[in-house]
Amino acid sequence: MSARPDSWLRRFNWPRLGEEQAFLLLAVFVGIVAALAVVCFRVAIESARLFLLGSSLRPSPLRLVLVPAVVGLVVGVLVQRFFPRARGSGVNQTKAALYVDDGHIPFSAVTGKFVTSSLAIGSGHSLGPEDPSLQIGAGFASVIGRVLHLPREKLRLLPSLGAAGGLAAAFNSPIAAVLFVIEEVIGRWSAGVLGAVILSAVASVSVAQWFLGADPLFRVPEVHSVDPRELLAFAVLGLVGGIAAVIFLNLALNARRRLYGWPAWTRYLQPAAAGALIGGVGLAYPEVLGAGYETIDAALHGEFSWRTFAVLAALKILCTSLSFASGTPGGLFAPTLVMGALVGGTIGRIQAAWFPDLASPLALYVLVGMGTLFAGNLRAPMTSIFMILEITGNYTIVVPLLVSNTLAYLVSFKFQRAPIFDVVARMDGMDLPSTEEQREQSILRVENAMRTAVAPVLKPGETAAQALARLGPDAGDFILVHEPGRGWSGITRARLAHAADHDGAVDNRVGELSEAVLPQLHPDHPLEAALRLVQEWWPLLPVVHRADSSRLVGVVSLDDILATYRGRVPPPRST
Amino acid sequence: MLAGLAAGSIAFFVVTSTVAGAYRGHVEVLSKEWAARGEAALAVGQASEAVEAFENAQHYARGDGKTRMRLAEALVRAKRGEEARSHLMALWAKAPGEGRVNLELARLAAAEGRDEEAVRHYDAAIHGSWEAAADVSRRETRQELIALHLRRGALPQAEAHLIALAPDLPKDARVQTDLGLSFLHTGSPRRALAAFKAALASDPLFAQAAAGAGEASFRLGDHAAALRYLRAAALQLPDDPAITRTLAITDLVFRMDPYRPRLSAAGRARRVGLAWRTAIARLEACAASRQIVLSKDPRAPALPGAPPVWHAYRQLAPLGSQLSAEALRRDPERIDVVMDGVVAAARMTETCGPKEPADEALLLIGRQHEADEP
Repeated sequence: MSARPDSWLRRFNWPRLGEEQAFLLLAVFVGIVAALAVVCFRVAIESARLFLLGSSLRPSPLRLVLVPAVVGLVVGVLVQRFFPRARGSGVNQTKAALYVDDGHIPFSAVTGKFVTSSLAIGSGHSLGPEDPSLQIGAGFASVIGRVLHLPREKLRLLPSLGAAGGLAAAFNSPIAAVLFVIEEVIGRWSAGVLGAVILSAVASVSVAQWFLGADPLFRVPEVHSVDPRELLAFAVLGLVGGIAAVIFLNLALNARRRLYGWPAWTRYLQPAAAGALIGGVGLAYPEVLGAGYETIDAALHGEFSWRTFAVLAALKILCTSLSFASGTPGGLFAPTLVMGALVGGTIGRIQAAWFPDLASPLALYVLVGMGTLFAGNLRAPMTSIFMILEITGNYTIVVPLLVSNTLAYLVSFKFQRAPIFDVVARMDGMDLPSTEEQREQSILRVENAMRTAVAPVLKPGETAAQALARLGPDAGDFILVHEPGRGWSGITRARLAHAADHDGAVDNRVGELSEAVLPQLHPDHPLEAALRLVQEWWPLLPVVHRADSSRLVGVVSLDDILATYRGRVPPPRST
Repeated sequence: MLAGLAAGSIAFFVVTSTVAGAYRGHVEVLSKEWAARGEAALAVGQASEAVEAFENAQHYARGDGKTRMRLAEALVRAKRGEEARSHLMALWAKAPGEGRVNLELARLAAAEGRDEEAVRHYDAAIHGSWEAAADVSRRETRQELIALHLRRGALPQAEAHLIALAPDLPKDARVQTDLGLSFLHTGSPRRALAAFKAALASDPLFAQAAAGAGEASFRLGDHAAALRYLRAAALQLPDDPAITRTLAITDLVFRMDPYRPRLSAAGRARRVGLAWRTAIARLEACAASRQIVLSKDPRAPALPGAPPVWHAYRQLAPLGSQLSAEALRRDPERIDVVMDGVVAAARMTETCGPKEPADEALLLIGRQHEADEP
């Protein structure tokens, strides 16, 4: 890579601002720009919808049949010929920027995503705007970072801030956006990252609300706390939601795999074919078209019977799978929420019919269902919980939400090991780090590697001869010394022997002979910390009790650490 | 570079403002258009079309409470109560004191049999805020609540609201008559009579008011006034069976009640005699319908297993010989003896076939006398 001009962060002499603080200010700016982009994106989607399908929520049959198919053809050509990076939802593309492209997202990808997604979603394809918003925000952030010539580590991070801003503006949910980006895109928690992401999300939401108002995407009726006995129903919802998620994931991924195996020229037509099928379904059930916020609204207000809920849920799963598998640009967040709303509504209706005295308002089941499918499909459990809490502003639903989400997540994890974004990334030839796999891996700690000290701990007042006399043949070459008030140090057996040979010399006490103070480890420290500390001249480190640093609980050496790592080889990844 | 970025951002902001502003303006227009279509559909009774139109209007104006209220009303008309309730509860959560919202919620609850909830919302609507015609709205709401209380049998609550409502009602004959009938239903004949009199003051020929006044007077024991009102009502509505029957009973009571104050001895004797003859005739008719042979001779031995009618007749028949004014003056207690027998006979004969006005009249006289006794 050519030498970069001096980063704006370094060159600009911010009065009383360090580089980190300047980066936080930049995060605010990125959030604002991401919001502006998302506002334009939402207007574009709605304008496309108005132009293509008309202003009625129930378009005419002719439009339903023609528009998704024709627009699908246009989108297919645009994606294949001009904007190949616009394909898909946008989450993996943002992760690729972080892990593969050093934070680089070409502006053409942003433009392509903007145009093709707004056409696709506006024409009725069963996809949502949130994931593209994430990528659009990330793309703008990447451009800003390149213009400002940020250093590589900051440039790599900037798209994540834009992603959080884009998602927060799209969803009007800053907390959920922050959690999703941290959970799924960045994959790690640190104070610096978290602060920047939060600032970007908050700035973005503020600006988006300035333009689009603070009204929620759908109107949430009042919901109240739940009888504990009803939690069983929400457990059932979790199980059913998990199964629905597995069905969707298998359908979408298998269809995608199959369609990818077809000749390349068919990819021009796949979005059109998906659009035609979705339009056909839409003739009978227009509720399955588009992102589906109106359907969620209708579900919340009890417009459907249980049969209709169930049919719509199945059809939404089918249509979203078709749109997704065909590579039509657009996201999965909104359709996932719709699927969840419909599954939740089904269970809610059945509960009300069978146990009328033990049935909360239907809206509660719809809301919990939304979170449930979010956890099952996208495997972002914390995001799903906080998103629903943000949407409702009602904490009383947290218990049923936790029950249902957890079960759905576990069912989905059991039957579909790899999350959908990871599978899709591999299908696209990218090996991106899987935040879920990282999450599921057990963290190795010092206690996994340490062993009991064989050699006695020497006292500083002992002479070298006395110390040597106490050492057995298997005590090792590096012996620990503990001096109250000073801490732990060590001495080599050779040095002791040399000092003992010159017994009559001054300063042959162990305390005088021992090496500099050793760093201390505790059993719960990550093993990574021990690996960093173990040095050639500190071959052995003490592992001490947290409440009493003079109490030795074990020792750890480089060999111990490496043996532990070798003993935990991860299993091969499944797809 | 920095300046370029800043300029670009400002330009982006301006473009976004323009685009968003244009979009907002357009959707406002769309919302109004769809709302107008909804109003037109509601006006011609096409509730389903109205719902669809208001849903479209709401989609383009999410925060608009008025449109949402119209959507809820359209849903009520389309008999989609659950959805209507959902929208109304959301509106109520934002403005719990809104009169219109509470009224619609009350109506939904009443239709679904949730009376306690309906009463709560009706009360909230009566005391809530109304955008226009607040007085009329509150009055009409109170009237609905009264009707609910009457249906539930909560008469004291209904009466309390009627009392509160009465001063606000116009002195229209029909309105006052309805008020009077409601008071009668709650068991307040005095207040009912006042309302009926107000109705008659507005329209002296209003037959329903006259009938109501007659009924109220009758319940108050003023049979003379009752007769007067009922005869006036009967003149207007000669074929009304309720008026005819009430008039007949009132007339019989008036002519047979010996306990009316300020009666002469002759008048009292006349009334006792008529009551006796009426009771005897009823017993004979009852016996004939059951093919029972009656005996007037008090000395005849009691037949084992004889029906109660036979015994009642045997006891009552001999009393008829001593009903002259002189006999009653000599033995005032005889009136009570005769009337007790007459009332006992009426209790028996009221179950003998359809209830006759004579039976009702005699029973009323008996009840009135029991009520008046210390």
